Amino acid sequence: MPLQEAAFHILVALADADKHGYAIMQDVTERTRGAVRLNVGTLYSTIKRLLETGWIEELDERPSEDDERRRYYRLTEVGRAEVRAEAARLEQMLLIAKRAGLAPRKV
Amino acid sequence: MTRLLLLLYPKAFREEYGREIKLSFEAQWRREPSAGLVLRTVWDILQTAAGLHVEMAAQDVRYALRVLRTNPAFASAAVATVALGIGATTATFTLYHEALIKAPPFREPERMVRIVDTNPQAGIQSFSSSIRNFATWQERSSKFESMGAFQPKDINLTGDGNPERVAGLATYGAFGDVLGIRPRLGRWFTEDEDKPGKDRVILISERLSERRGWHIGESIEVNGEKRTIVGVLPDFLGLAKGTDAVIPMAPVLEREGHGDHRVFALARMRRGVSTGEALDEMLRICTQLETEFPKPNRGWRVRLQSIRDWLVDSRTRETYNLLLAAAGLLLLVACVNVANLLLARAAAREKEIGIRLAAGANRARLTRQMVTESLVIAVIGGAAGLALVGVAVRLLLPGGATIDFDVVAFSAGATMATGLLFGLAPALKVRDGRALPGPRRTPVRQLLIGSQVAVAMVLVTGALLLVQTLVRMLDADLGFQKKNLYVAKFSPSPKRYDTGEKAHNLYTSILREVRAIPGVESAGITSEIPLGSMTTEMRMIAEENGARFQTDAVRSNWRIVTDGYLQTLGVRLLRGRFWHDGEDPRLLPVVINAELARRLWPAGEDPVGRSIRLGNGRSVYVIGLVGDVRQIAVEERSPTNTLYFPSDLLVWETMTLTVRTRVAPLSIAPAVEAAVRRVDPAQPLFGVRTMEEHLAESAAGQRMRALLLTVYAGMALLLGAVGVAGVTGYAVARRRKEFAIRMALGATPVRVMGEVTGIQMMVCGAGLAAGVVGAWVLRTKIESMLYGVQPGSLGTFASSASVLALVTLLACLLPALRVTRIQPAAALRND
Repeated sequence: MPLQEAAFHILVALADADKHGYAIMQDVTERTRGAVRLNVGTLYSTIKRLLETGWIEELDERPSEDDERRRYYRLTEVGRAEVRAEAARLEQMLLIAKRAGLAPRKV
Repeated sequence: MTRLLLLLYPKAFREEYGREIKLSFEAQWRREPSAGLVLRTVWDILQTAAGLHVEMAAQDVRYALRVLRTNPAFASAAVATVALGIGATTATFTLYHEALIKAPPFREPERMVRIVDTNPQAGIQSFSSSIRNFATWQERSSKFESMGAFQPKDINLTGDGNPERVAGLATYGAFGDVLGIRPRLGRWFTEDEDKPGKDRVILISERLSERRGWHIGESIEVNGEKRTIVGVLPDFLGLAKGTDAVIPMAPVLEREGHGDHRVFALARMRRGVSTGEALDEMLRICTQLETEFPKPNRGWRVRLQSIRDWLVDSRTRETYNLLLAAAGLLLLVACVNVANLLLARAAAREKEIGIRLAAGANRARLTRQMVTESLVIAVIGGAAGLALVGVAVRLLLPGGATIDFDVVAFSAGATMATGLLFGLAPALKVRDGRALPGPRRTPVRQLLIGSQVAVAMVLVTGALLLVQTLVRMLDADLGFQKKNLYVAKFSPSPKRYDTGEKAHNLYTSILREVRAIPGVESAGITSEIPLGSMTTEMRMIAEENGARFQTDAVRSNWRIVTDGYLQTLGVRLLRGRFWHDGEDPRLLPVVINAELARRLWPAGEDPVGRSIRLGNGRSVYVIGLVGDVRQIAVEERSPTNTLYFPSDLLVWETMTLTVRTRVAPLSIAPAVEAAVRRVDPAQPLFGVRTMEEHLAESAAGQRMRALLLTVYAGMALLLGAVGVAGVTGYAVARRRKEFAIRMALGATPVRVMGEVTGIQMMVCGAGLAAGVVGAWVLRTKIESMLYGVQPGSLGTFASSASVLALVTLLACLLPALRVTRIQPAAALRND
């Protein structure tokens, strides 16, 4: 099953550091140079699903500098494996398209 | 604004993430305060909220199905109860819909009215119209797009082989335009065909066209003369079911009396014209007609009745409202039962729910789950109920009623409402986290039980009242002997039998042949038998008061009868005599009933030998006084006053032959048919049945009411009993250990039982009391449907109250008996 695009971006955003919701949104915008902008509804409904599947988890304690007491999320090992599999799948698809002469000139 | 949008999310999600969403949005807003962001966010929230709801519902439904599967006894009890309730309600609604809601096949029925003649001076509320006045209305009115008049008419079709009689209409004016119904093939009559001599045309129904293989352009013999088929009509014209032929009335207007009220007038108002405007104009024309032809038109006015009100009388409406209300009450009882089941189970699941809450389950989520569970039960039950109704309708009313979108929508609505209703109590308990029902703390369940008893009491009383009414009606004294009577109708051709004398000769010949049939005791012919579909009335006054006719005339029913008819029915001759051969017709000898004599001569003079002045100025001479016969309806308050005309006085279209037999009445049917054919081969008999069948048919409405209400009452009683028994049984089970200890310490089982059932009985008693009040209110509502049941009679109430008391007592005691089987040692050892 292909991963939902929003889920993919959220998982990637959590790959290097634990983040709260707003930080995830910012990270996605920067990483995609503004091409993907997550909105709050999509963000949290996706977070809810990812929590249910156990691909991410909520942290019990928050970094001390956080004054707003936001909720922080962390990528689990299962989640990490899923993003890897997804990336591999996307690469495979890109390869197929290339062989058919359908790939974009520059990726 | 965000807060408002957040409300769109499922509560559990909102509680979990609402604050986060708000914070994140605020952070976004600080960086990019633009309308674009707002729009994007709103759109996003709308989409994801919908998605989450669907997802959650699917999860809950799966969970509910799993839970139900693990407890099949509970699931089937709940589903069956709902199916019963929804089935009864939907079945009733199907009938209700068929009778009251379904749109008549007319184009824009809201513009259609029936013009009803009234005569306030004479106390007449509703009367048919005269064709002569109708023609004037047509000429002078401007507010109507079209006007048409009609008269129901039985039509004899002969021609190719066997004579057949069909129900038909004779129409005048733009009848087809008023209805706005197009013929399937061909056309309605032209204006020209409405004139005498040019009227040799006929429209037939699709059904008749198929059955006899008749087509447009063909010529068929109708009432003894050739007519050309000019059109084929749909089978249902919205007026009377089973209309198979329509012919032009083609009256000779100059010969029609202004006071000869015999047609129904319909009209279609112009677009944008209000009923008030149309009525004002009609009343102006009525006043003109009164000045122009004062004698026949004195006091005659009209009112406009919407076509719907005309087709569905208030009595029918009342009946269906009553039945729907009764079914609604039954559904309520069913709901209460399921709610009780759910509460009992919620108590049993107390532990499961407690654990889930402790494990951090969201309360809102749990509540949602409980409601979903109730809805799943409701939907399965509702679907089963609807399926039951579908089967029942197909079996019981072939072609009579249809289950269409409205019915399904109603059923679905009722199902949802039901699910929410009975799911409410257990769901609220979880939401508020209130103590789940314990042994002594079951106020909600007690309240539910009490209301069940109350509702059952109301329904049982209603059913008893209606059943009593039906029984009283069926063996009411109608003023004649109803056993061993054969009846059949026939319509002599008005062309062949155009004078009273010719008609009389036909009757005499038929009667001579019929009386010769073995097994026949006597026979007679009349224009209408008692409780027939037609009423014929005219105004009259005692000859000596003739000058006061306009003010004091009495309205009376009249019938045409041959000699032998009253004797055949067994109507008692109180004074004077019946007609005999060689009567001088110029004297116009008539027989009247006791009620009419009382009205005409209130002082009690002997009417025999006196004369009566009729509305047309002629006088008739009373030769006999007979007992009262219920002519119009069994339940009428006072007997119908009736004047019997001899059969050589006037011609009538459809006559009824009545035969008193010594054998089973219908066994002579073939012989009677043969006898009539010997007299006139083109004379079909129709409506052949026994008088008892005819009477049963006229009580069909009462029978349906009584039957349905009895079924509902029985189901409510059963469900109520099950509900009470369930609660008692549950209380016993819950307190098993406590009872065991107390019985081990010497308490007697009777004492313990009393304690268990005590509260229950008090609750039932309170419910019963409330039910008596409800039943009393119901009684006043259905008073007009009752007959022969004494107003304020306590007997009915006492009997239904004792039935209820007995049933609830049993329902309390039987489960409580389990107390006596408790083995203290075993009960204590068990847990």
